[in-house]
Amino acid sequence: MKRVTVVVVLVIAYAWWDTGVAPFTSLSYSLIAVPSIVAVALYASRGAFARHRTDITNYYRSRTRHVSLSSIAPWLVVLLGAATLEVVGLALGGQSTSVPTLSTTVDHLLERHWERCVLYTAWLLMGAGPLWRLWRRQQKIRA
Amino acid sequence: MYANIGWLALLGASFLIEVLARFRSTRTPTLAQLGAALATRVPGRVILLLLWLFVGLHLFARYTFPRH
Repeated sequence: MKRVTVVVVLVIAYAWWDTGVAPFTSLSYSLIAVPSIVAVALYASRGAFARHRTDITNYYRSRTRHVSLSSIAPWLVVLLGAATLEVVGLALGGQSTSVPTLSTTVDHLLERHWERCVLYTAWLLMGAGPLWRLWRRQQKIRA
Repeated sequence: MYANIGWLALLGASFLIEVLARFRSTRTPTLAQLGAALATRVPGRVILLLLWLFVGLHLFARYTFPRH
């Protein structure tokens, strides 16, 4: 429990630091690169990029539930709607206030430091979550 | 303004689909199951990882403040 608390505090502290750095600077790119490289390295170490690892393929297959083109139709409709709005927004120059792109819309959530920190932490969790589940699954098989 | 409503509607629809998929016996998969379906193949895993990297880079290293 103590270890988890330390990790959580470190993650939030890193998120606070990274989101306080000005964008489009080499420091901001470097700070984003750190968790990115760690994630890629950890996935590679788990064998996620190896074609011969049928255990990983079977693991992901077990987590899908009869996914088919017809079953994902609602998601496809949402995706189509998003793509349409994005294309129209980009066709209007990308900075239109009447038809903003997703990026322009999300920019409002990035105005304050604490908002960026929350989003950054969510982004880290989205990357770490699947990796954690994969690691747990592999530990369970080994035990 | 209408496009903002459009984005909000899409977000609401996504939330609704996710909740229904998780708590009702529908054929629609959750986002996690959709991701797992993509991840059954190595190119799918690479695409998902690249998407995550792109989101992080675009949101936190290349963001701009909105004009008021």
